[in-house]
Amino acid sequence: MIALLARGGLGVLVVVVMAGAIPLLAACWQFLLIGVHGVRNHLGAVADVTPRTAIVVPAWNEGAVVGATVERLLAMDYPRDALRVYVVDDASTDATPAVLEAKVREHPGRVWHLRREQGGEGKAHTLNHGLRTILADDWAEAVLIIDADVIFVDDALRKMARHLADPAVGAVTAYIKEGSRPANYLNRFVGYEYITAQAAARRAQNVLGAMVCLAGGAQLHSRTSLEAIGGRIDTTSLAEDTFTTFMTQREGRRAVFEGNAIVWAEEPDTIGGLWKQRLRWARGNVQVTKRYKRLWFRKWRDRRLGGLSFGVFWFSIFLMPLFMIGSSASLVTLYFADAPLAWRVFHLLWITNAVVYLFVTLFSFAIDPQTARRSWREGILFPGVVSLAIILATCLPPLFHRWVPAVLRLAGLAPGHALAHAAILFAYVWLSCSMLVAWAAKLLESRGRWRLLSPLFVYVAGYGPLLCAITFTAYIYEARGAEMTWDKTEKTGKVALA
Amino acid sequence: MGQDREDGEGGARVAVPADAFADAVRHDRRFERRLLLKEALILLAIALLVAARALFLR
Repeated sequence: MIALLARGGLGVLVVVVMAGAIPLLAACWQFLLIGVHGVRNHLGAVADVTPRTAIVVPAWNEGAVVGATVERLLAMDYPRDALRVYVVDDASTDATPAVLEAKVREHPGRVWHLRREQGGEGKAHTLNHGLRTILADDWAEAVLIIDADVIFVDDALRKMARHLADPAVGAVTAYIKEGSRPANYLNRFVGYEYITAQAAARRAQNVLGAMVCLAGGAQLHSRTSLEAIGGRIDTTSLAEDTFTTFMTQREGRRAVFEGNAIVWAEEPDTIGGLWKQRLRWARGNVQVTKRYKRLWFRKWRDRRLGGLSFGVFWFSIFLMPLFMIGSSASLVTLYFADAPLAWRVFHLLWITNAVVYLFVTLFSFAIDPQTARRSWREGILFPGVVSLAIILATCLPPLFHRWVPAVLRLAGLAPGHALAHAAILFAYVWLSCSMLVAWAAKLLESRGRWRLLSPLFVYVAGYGPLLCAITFTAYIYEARGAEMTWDKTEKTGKVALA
Repeated sequence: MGQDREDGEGGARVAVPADAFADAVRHDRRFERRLLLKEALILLAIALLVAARALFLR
């Protein structure tokens, strides 16, 4: 009986360790669907339509960038009489109002300056101020919601608008690319991340017919669709973009990703800035998960959003920190209960990791070679130096069984049994520890001279674990019921067309 | 740029200017199809790597 229980316990541990492979397999499935997108996409249903489009630009102290943004929007390849720009100035205290008044005078009837006297309530409130004005008049047939700092490539709006020829489509989003110039290491990590999270993941979502989120910096809505969801953006959460996307789809319309419409955006260049932005997004995702708790994996409630693949994609990202911690903790327990079994399961997990890493990295580079040329180091080091070393050790055992000990002996060190076991235990706990090291990178960034070590910590721990650490922090904030504050990401206007 | 289209009366194929919109859509569809090809090539390369590892690193 005791033996049976022990065997059952070991079985549970093996299952929990291998649950760590769920996000990897989900990523693999997502990337496999991109190939299907080659033959199953929405380009077959597009037509040369250019609906009268009102562009809403929320702006708070964007004096440095908003003038250029307005000029670039007006200069887009789109019929002149079918484009209007509404900048909603969220009680800015810098030069934004003056810059906008000048633009209104320069482009009468094409640029509007909508001023909010009471600001700071968040982007959704600002957008709603603009939407109220736009929808009060029947001129607009479509509404493009953007950020003040983004740069649309000339044909981006036209490429997005062509999908609205299909009345089944309610909203279209574009491929947001990191455009900071000069770009530091973090910008390059974000650049690579956006290939996987946007260019890749959203193509897969096109195939499923269910979109996770319309990018906040580029979302084109048909008027009908926007009115169907109440003509306003949800103001009760930190994930207004995701709520808008879900509401659009729950109203029976499709949200489509147009990967050939390129929009450049400036993303944070410090871990502190990135942490703030991503914590807001991650907390928003916790709120979405709770709000739609009756939807997940229930196809009968919503054919697409309730689908199995969509749910797996959502939860594999949302629960990734828990998968990592569970996997690590179970490996360590298994090590003390049955070391050879722990070693075999560890091997299986990391071989899976290696194959998925190779597939995802190479395919991401192939999807966007332009970004890959700039961010290839960050793409390769996305999981972190230590995880890469573990992948190498798993895939090329002689490297670590024979060559590393040989090098250590040459250096006068005698690798003994204890060292080998310490190395094995370290490898087992690394999945969890990588998040701690990534968190340490954030702490170091604000510690005077120590901040120089911060990038090194990110490269060692990996950018992926950094995002997991942020998601884990979001669980804690939401569990504590922390106040929802809108921390605007600092923009400096250094985005440029590549 | 142009493309061959069938002339309605004689059935002869003549080159007529293709409009920019159709060209852009064709270009984008080709890009999407190429991703399928790239994916197949990458998967093949990984399969070869895995096979090589199984053969040489027993």
